[in-house]
Amino acid sequence: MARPIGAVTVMLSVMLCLTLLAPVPARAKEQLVYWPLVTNGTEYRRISYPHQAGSLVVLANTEVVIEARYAPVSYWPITREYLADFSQKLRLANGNIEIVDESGKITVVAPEPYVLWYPAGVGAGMSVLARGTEALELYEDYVKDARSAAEAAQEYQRIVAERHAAAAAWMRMAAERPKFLPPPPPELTLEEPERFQAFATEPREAAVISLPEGAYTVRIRDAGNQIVPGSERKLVSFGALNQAVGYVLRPADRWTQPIFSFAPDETIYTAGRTDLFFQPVPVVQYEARRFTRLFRPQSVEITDPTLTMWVPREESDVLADGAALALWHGDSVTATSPRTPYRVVQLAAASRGYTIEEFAPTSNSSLKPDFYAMRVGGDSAVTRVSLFLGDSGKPASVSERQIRQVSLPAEPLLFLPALLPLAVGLALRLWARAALSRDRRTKAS
Amino acid sequence: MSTAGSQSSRPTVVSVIAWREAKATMRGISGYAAITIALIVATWILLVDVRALEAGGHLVLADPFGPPLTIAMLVLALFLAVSAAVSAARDRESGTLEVLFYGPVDEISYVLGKIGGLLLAYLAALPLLLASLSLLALMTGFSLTLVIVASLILSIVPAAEIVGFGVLLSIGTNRVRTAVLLLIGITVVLLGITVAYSMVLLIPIEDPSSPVLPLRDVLAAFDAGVRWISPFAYLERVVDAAVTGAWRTALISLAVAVAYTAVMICLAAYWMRRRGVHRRGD
Repeated sequence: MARPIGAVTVMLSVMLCLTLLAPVPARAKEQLVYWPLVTNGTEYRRISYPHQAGSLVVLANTEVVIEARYAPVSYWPITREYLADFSQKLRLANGNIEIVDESGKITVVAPEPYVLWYPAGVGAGMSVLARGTEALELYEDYVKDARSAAEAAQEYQRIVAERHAAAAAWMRMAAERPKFLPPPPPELTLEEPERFQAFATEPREAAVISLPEGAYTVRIRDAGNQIVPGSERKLVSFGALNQAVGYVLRPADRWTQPIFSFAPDETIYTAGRTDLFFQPVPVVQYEARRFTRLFRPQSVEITDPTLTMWVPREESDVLADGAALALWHGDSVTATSPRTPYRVVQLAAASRGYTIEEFAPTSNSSLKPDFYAMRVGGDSAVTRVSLFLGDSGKPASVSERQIRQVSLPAEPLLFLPALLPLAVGLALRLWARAALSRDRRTKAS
Repeated sequence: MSTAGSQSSRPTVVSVIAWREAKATMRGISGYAAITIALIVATWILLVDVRALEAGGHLVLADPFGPPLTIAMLVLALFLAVSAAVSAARDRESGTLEVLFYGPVDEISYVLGKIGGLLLAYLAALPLLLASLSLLALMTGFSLTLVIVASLILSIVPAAEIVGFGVLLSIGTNRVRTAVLLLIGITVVLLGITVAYSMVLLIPIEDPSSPVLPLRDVLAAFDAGVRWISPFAYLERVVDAAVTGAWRTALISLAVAVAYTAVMICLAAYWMRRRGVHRRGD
């Protein structure tokens, strides 16, 4: 009888221990927190660096805004991170930012105006950091353009409203069947002005740096020429290891669900059922642990310094007109597939399918292609593709991908190779047994 | 009571024990069955990609045989560890160990011979494994890269480590059954901690006072320890690192595995000397 009671006691004790051990968010303590605005080559983000987060990590030769504030920091056990609370009005760490390189050379970075510029709108495409007078000019132009775009949109809305009112008035008049009915108001031919999507943040002043690859120390020196306590931190600036061409692959039967091939050592396997649309993108290879820490400095996911990752960059260099995909069979180029605009056309039938057609622009149409790509036929015997650059016609470096057409057998058949060792073992055993009985017979005779 | 073999004859003794051990393993059908089981598991893992390719029509992969190879290696490693434990425990149980030590056999040569023999059997299994994988590659159209071959070769070192682990465990036991149960128990604990930690990570935690949190942190600490203790973790690390091209990590893991094997051999020999070679009750 004692055993079940003992087991229950043990279980309850374990549960009690676990509950007592449960880490709770530590009381927030104020500390100097660096709050840089860093980029991963595509977008900018504010990242907080309490001192527990370790070295600041930035991408080499990119504009980075360095700011620091006194903020309450607390441990958040769920994500195992130290989080700074920037929701309150916080005091800035006043003073000049100093960058000390490995040779001990000190660079004092004076604050200057900066603006974050989103040419295609927030959350769409890349963002750019402008600094100094360029930032102020950019912001002025942005305000001017945004204002004129708003005015144009307003004017268009006014014209549309007037036209609607005129049409409604004519309809009312027509309903009364007058003897003399004037012609209806003319159709509106005015094209709607394009939506203004760009956005720029208001200019602010802070230290903006751009560092080559290396290890640095960042610190703040106050007005009394003293280093602000807690401001001295390590900063790592890392760069790309390699550059190549990656591909976004859109199967013709699932064009909205692309697959990606960014690493050059990847192979594209295809069952050959549908065409494949290749969209080349420039890709960059980074040290994985550094790149991961860029936006998540307290991440412990990747610690292996030899692991790398390929990341797409939002540039349009390889997408230039005239670029073509060379289709190889063995060692010879059999054809090239030029970069072509495509439009997805919905089918009218009940199947609700679609076809992907080459886009042919007409002069009075505002239609745009859905995507640009290089088409590779599903039934083509292509074993390899590579990118040829537009004007020069030269092959782009590290743009090659192997393509393997596969026809898969039934699943149970795939287990047959696993039986090979067993077959070998049985054969050896039978052979040994036969040899033994032969020996016995020889000895007996 | 160990009769120390003379230094000059030790290599001969080791090679004789190793050859005897390798022949015994290669003649039995269990080794081939283990490779077959390892390959069935590998094929089953590969089916994930096969089904994805069938469903989607396209698939992008760098090394489709990477994950299946890791699993196959772990299954084979488990067989090696069990074989090592069974072999050494059987020698003690049957009295062979005692008889051997009346000859020019000492503890270190016995342990080295056992490990060497099973390693020879493992080496013999590699071409079979590679041939089966090549057949599978031919059938699926998936490419079998040189990295896979390199991983197979590199796996020899952690395989030695695993055999050493099996031998060490068997030294402390008197019966084959105890040795096997002990080995399986320890393996289940080692793998169980890693699996349990992976499972706990999947539980969504929203409340910081959740009792899952300390459990997660305790398991994380245990898992970190297991990564250093478990010989299976070294095998996984070496093969994974080779497949992903993290050669520095692979080489570091190999170096640690060599040191681990050396420690296993020394510990096994020391423990055997302390325990003696008699059967239980003699």
